[in-house]
Amino acid sequence: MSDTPLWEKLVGLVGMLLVVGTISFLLWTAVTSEEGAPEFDFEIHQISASGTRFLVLLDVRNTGDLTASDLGVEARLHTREGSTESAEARIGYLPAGSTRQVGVYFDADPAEGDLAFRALGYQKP
Amino acid sequence: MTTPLDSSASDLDPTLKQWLGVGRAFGGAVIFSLPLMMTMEMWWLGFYIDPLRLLCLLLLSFPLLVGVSSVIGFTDSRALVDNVIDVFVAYAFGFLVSGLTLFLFNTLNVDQAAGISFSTIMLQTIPASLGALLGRSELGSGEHDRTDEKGRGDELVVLAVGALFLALNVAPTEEIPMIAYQMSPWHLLGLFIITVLVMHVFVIAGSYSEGKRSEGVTGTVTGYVYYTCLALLVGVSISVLMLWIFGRSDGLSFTALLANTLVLLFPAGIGAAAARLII
Repeated sequence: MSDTPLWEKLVGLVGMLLVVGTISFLLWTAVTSEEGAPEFDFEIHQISASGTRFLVLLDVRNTGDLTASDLGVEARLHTREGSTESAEARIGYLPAGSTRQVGVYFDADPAEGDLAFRALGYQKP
Repeated sequence: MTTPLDSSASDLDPTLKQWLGVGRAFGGAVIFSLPLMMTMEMWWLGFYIDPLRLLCLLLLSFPLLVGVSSVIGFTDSRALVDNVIDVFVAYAFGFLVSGLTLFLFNTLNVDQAAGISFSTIMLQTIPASLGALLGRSELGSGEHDRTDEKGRGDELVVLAVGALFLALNVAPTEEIPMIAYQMSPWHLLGLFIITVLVMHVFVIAGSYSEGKRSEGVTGTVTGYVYYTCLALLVGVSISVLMLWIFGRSDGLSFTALLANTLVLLFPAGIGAAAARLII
């Protein structure tokens, strides 16, 4: 018979549930995951004045199945006068199903034009 | 080794003794896994690790931890069921310590998928639970038996823990491939020879420590060489396994893989050979 105290058996039970849960989770992930590609969604979080320039905070969400590393993001501002200004930011790691925020600077006021975003490229980690 | 704390430990109130055990387990988990929790490659690994590799790590850690619990176990009884309970307790402590620490570091970003955060914590839980086990035993009441009836399996467990003790903290870092790339074949050969020599010195030194000479098998030249070879085998296996689990072996040519293995073998092999001095 085991002479382990009761509290230790209870903590052990928690540990066992954790291990069994993890094994099930990992197996489930392994079975259901597909060798897909990352996909990106862009959403403007905030636009604010920053000194003489303008800062656009952008939420970038990876809706795909794969983590992207060293992701390049380009933001383009088409002003009403017809000029185009572009800015770039990079994201170290953007895991699948996760969101990271980047900031890009423009000289023209983004409120006076149209903003467009696109992913430039990434590295498979 | 007896310290003033040890000699009084047996007179302590059982409840206090249990709480001391809990404290030691938490302490061990923190000490062993803190360098890894403060290594950014380990957080990133949580973002993209192949679930099957994490599963392998978890499944391989279980028999190793049971072995650790049986070799240097912290409860007086050495029944298998008690050792298994100890291991599950260690996992629970390890998970708690890792989760709390990573939460404090704000590594567990709320903007990331829950599964990703869970994988990141689980990656850290395994070394932390090894630390929890070692912490409770290493600083324990000294009643456990570390040398008697040591079987071949126990010996392998000791070697593996020693290898992990020294190599686990550096295995996931960018420095391993970086060092491997900057070394010429001659450097690698030199490093390998030095590794084996240092290992051999540690094997001889280890056999003289704590009156463990009674183990006999290492008392002769052949015995020392045999034990060094065993430590080398364990060191190489652990190195290759860690490179694979941490995704450091993917896409490498055989020569590059060999170079990375030899670099990681430096700490892993020495850790294995010095295991009897460390634990």
